[in-house]
Amino acid sequence: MAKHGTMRSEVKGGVATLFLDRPDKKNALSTELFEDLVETLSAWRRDDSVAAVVITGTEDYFSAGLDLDTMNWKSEEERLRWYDATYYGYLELLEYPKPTIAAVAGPTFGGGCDIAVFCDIRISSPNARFGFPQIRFGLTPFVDPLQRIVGQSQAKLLVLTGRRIDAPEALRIGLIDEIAPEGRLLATAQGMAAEIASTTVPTVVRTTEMLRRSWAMDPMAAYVYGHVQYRDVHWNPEISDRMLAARAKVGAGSR
Amino acid sequence: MADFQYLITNIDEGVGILQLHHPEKRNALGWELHEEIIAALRAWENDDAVSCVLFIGNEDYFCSGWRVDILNTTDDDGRRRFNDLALALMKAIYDFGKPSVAAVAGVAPGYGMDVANMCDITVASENALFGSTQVKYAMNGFYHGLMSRVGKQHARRLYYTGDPIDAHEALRIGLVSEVTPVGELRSRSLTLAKQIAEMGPELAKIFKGVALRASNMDHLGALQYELTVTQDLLQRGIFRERIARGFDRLKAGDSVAIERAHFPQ
Repeated sequence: MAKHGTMRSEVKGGVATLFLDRPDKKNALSTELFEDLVETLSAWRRDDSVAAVVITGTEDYFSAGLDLDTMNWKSEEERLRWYDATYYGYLELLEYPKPTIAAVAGPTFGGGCDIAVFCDIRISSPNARFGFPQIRFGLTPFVDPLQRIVGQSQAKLLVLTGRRIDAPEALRIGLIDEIAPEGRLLATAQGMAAEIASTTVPTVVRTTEMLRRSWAMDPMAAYVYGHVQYRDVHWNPEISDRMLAARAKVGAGSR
Repeated sequence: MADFQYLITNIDEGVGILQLHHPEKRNALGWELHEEIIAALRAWENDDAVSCVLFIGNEDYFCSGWRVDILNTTDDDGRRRFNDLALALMKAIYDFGKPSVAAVAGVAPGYGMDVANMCDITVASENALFGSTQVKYAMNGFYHGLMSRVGKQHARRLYYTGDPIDAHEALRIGLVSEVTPVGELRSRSLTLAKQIAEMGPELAKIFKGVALRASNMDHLGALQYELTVTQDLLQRGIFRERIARGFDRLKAGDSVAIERAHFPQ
């Protein structure tokens, strides 16, 4: 349990799951929630028993977005704490060394939808609804990484209208990657994380980093960067031993 | 802050002083020193008592680079972990959320110079020597840090030859910002760090954010970003306070804008 009690977590078989847990508020986002998010995630950064992280709420809702109570500042200090909390919260996701899977259901709006977008992969239940209503208040949404995920046109449509879309539409535009069967959201997301955890964890971490850094490089730079990553892991005897074992299994020279 | 084995830390007027102190190894970076610097920076990242970090050794040497003895004797797996740790340290310094000053004395070969290059500003003692010496051991120095200080041509000369340059040459090509007489490094660099820390932690984080990110934007993106930072600042209590103070002093004939200016005689 994180310091402010806004979330629960568990670690099982290489998969860490973080449950947003403010049932009275449908997981609306508060300063405390973002602080707990950073505390919980940063503890798993260097924890070798964690290969991938699932971030979820319940089978009925993920997050209704901003907790409007948060806007009731009593001082500039409180306001600045909110800015720090959100800044470091989303940054933790953006720069997280291990793959993150958002498993979302029901209302997934505003800053809650941003949390999903800042994860690496998104799975939803059939009942999920998405939207960025920020513009209706005159607030700005994060347009990045959204526009890298759904493309510029769909990103514009979503953030400029603030309209809500359902799970099939979110799947169609690529905002989510998969729709889990009804009631099977958590199991599906954890299954996907377990699939990642069953591979080679150090290379999962490396590949996550490659995906992140390559994006900002020109194609030639990304190529030389990618090839040196390959050479480096290839030198590792653990990895060549694994390939030689596979060769022995299939039988040398056959195929 | 935790007690460190090879690091002396204290906070002086907004400056987090991070003094490398492993005399037997002339402050070469081994396992412990990597971990300790990372821990110290993590603790200061959101500590409002710190607005600027000063990396320093002593008046004779700063850091003699990566621990060659570890590189030479460890097995492959150990070297891999050592390299991972170096990456973690370099990221902690190069992307640190507040301004940093390196104060370099003596020979700063290889990683010793690289650590300084990852800080925002380097002050060098007249006895300092800088070199991207890794090439002599079949390793690569950190080109990005070098290039962003001195430009491509000087960077490549240093990077390819590995030959060291003295403090005055370093000043000439822009590798360092100031050269101090021998024995005055700590006082001069601390003075500079304190002048930076005058802005306070709230501005320190915002200014460093701009310094880190604006150079990766195109000029129109940077304009839009930087002027939005201005508008953000204009709405803060710290602005109201400082603009009022600055205006009062201006009326009194004691402008803050020129308080440390040296006018030609």
